[in-house]
Amino acid sequence: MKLMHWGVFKKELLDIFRDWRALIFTAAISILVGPIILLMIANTLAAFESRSELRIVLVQGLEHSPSLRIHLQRETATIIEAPNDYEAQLKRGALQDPVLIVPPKFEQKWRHGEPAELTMMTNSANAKITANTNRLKRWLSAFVNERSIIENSMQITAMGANELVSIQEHDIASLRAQTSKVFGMIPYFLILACLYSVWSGAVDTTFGEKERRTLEILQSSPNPMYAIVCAKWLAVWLVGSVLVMVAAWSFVPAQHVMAGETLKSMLAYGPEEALYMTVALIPLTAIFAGLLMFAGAVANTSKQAQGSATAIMLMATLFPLAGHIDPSEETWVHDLMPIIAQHRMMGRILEGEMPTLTSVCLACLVAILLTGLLLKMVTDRLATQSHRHSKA
Amino acid sequence: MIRISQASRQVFNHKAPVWLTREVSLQIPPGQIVGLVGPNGAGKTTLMRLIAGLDALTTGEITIDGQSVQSSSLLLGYLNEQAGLYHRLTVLENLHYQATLYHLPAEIISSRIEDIASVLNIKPLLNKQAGKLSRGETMSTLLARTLIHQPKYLLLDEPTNGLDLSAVIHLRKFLKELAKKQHGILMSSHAMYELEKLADYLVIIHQGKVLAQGTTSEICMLTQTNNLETAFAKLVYQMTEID
Repeated sequence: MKLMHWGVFKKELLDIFRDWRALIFTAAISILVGPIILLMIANTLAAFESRSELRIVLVQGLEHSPSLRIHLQRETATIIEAPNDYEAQLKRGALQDPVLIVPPKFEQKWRHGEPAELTMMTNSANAKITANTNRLKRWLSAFVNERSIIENSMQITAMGANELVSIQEHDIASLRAQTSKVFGMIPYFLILACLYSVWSGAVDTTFGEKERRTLEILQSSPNPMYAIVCAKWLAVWLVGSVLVMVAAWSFVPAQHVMAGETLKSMLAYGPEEALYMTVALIPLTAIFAGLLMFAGAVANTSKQAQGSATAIMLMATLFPLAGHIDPSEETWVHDLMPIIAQHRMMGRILEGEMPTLTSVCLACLVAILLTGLLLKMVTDRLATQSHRHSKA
Repeated sequence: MIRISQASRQVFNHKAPVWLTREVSLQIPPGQIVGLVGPNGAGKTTLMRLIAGLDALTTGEITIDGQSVQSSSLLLGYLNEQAGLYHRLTVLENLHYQATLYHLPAEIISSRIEDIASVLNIKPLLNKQAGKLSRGETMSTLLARTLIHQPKYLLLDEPTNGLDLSAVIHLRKFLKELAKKQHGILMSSHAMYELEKLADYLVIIHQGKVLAQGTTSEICMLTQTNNLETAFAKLVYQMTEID
């Protein structure tokens, strides 16, 4: 017995390609998703940097270095004493500037030719602090160079300040938090890419048949409905997977073309990451294709079909949030939940942790089971669908 | 032969049972054109859908050459006047798709399409997109699609709707030729004069029930009228005269 009707598969592919307006629109979104997101991130970072024009310096122990105070004042910086619990406030995002720590006897030390250290407390998970940290770094470097030139010319110390003073940056954010905060939107967009890549094709294969009144020719043909449904699903999934692959790979050239220095240092997205992203997304595309086909199969009007598809879109957007509510609560159960599992997997890929074979197999297994169940439901629905039933 | 014995179908409309057809019995032998006449909502389409296996019987039995309807899809061709085509595909692609659905060998599909297109005068339309066809052209294409697998029995639900006179005359001639080739045809129509000219046997149906069946003269004799239109009015609307 044939599992799939190849004639139906070919016709569905032809139908999808013939609807070239929808296809070009979807393909354009897939190609542009990378550049658009990176442009948005770059703009966000630029906005943070423009905010840094306020020139605030949060500092503790500035009394230990009068020359640094004078230098910062000359830079027209607004010097504010940092709160004692600055570390806690940095972590929870209450502070939007790094905190400069000047240790006791700082100035005394390097004036006597001893090494001294300035510490910048930052939280790179907070992009606003990251932008302001760069400005503070520039000021401190300028201060050290200036003191070095002055003291060398006056022959105060044998070694210049630039040899004695070191600037330490202490980042209180974890690596995961650092990357996921800024680039957290990439997995969201890629999950949405899975959805829109199969959207019109999937709904058209089921609801479209009813709307055009062509379902009857399938019902009265000598083919089992499951063979027709499987062929339709395969065509939709195939086209969707290609579009998703394009979306996942669009970040690779985009970051080289558009990324500024800040962006470049924060995101490492190469062919390997793109490949793993694709592997994570293709099973999800399979589920979405089945789900949207089912939404089309149960709908009796185009409004119902649109409503169901919108509900699926909302679900795809909201599901990943479940993982954000309390990241410490993440368990293996999340790996079994579609959308959440893919979102987590992509988050890990962005952090440089490639998915394990087990997690990929698990995602594929869930996708196979769910897609199978959905296609069974679509088959039952289409096989028994009667216009007379719906009218009566 | 298509044998319909006591075929009934009941559905529930807001939990109230409604009989769409009730105890219908008739036969459609090969080589005969059977005309199905009835007012709107009489149950003509339901009866055709039951024969095509698209709806389930509540009681009764339908067999096609002794087989159940589920296993005789290759013997049947069902044309519904409201059926559609795949708008983005050309007429040729629509016909080709239908041929693959009926497992026609790839080597004969082209010649089969060519033959049917010639007979139905749709050759110039083959490369036209189905969404751009006129109503008459669509109906001709639907008929071609129904005939692509050369079914032994044809179920034609209002096939002349939207056709111009020349197309109707052409269709009439074509159906008579098919009947001569031992195809059994069940055809419904509102146009009484059309069925009177075409059908060998007539069935008058109303509210899901068969009111009368037989040749035109038999029905006229039964109703003591001199033409089919008056016989129909008398049976369905209890009218004795028509202006």
